[in-house]
Amino acid sequence: MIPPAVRSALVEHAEAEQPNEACGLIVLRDGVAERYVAGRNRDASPYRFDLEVDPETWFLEDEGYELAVFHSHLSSPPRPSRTDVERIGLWEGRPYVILNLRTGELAAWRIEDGRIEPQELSDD
Amino acid sequence: MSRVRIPPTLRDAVGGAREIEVSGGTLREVLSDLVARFPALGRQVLENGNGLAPFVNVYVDNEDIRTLGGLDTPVREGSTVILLPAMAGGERTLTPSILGTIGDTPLVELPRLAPHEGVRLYAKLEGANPTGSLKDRVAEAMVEAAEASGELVPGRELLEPTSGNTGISLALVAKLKGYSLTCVLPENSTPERIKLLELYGAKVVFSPASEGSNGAVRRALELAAREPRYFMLNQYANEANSRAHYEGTGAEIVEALPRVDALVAGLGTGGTLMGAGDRLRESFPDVVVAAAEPLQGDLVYGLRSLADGYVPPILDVSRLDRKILVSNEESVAGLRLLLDREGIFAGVSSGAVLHVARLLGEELEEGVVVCVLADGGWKYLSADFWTEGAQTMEEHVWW
Repeated sequence: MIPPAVRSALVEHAEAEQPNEACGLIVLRDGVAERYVAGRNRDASPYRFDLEVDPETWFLEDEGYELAVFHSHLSSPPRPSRTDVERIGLWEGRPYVILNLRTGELAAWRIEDGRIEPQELSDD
Repeated sequence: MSRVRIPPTLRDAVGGAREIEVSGGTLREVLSDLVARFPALGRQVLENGNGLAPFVNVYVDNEDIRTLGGLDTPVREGSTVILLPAMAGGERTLTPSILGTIGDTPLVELPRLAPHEGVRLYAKLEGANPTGSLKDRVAEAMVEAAEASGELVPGRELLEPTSGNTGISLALVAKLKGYSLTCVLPENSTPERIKLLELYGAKVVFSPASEGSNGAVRRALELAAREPRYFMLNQYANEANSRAHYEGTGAEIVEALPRVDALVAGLGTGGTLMGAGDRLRESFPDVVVAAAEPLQGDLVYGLRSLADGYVPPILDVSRLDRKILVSNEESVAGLRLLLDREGIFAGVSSGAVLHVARLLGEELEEGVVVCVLADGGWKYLSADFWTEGAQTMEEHVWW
């Protein structure tokens, strides 16, 4: 579940990063997003992202949080692209959220063994 | 000593440890020590034992090593090394090699060829692969599997019996990966194929036209037995063939459509039917996997009549729900329909596949039928199937 406040933070970051893709980590507890940690897109590209975020953020899982990798697509549907699937790497099977900035559509996925599985996403 | 912090995503490989003390004066030495003690980390951290793996980011004392000295970054006594998941992706990307364009072919609806209103007919256009056929998927998968197993090493020469498509695909993959390739093909293969093989750098050895595909296989086996330098990938018995279609063709269809009632592909090596068929069954358990099979005695390659006496080892006939015979005339008629009605210039086996797809569609009251069109028509121009009589089929190999 991504409450409106966190959702707004995702959209604001994506809008601020235009024309490039935005990326960051969503911090969840018990399935509910508590906050968004905006990252830096090292690629600074409209078509690619390479997430750079404070390294300590990745260790929040040790405090009982779950993390979701987030990035924005400028115009295409919020579905993992072939590039996303090929570069899922160590994040295989973990939450992956994409925002389509043009339509505002937000969608959650898990990518495992090359397969893209949709995840339920609500805002309340 | 220094310490390495292990992210939660990698802890299974180190017995759950959050931190590990390691020795080494450079990052390379530190990571080598780590991997030696925890081999399960292996490729997740170091690629081929010496480069940093692509899916990991490394920080030394809170600085990203990409801004330092990479693997040569000094690691001082008491330093902290942090391993992190490297997250990258994006909407689109530049393609680093032509091999990166293999797969993800278009799935196109054929509304003018659907047998009736209740049925939606789709075609997977494998001619959109870089050398124009689905064999690009197979060639890349087989070569990479042979490399990964250690069987294919520099200095060995690839050998393959083929009517052309697999050879052309292998020639592309071999060229970019630095292997030489010899292809054995029936002497009645179309001149475009022979020319393309030569242009891509393959050596060509002919087998008698009268012996069809089986003759090419026999000749290749003889050569492989005589010359140890040859390495035969043997697409007919290579599991990487069907796996390429499981992970590629089939997965792409499942991703694109919410429902599939029938999948039709040509009966060649069996790779498409087995691989894509298995993948579709996982998502659509009632899907009918159907093979388009040429009539016994037709001089075809790629599409084969099982009655002619050779069943490819990767083909498990019990996993075919339907096997429908198609005549040369029906294949050519299908080929012309594709071009006339939908503007799709496909290879000849596609005509057979379309014929079967429409037959199955007629049997359904409503549903979705997907057919895999193995290649484009460009390599068949000299045979001129589009304007001459269907008897041309008797003179040419048509996969």
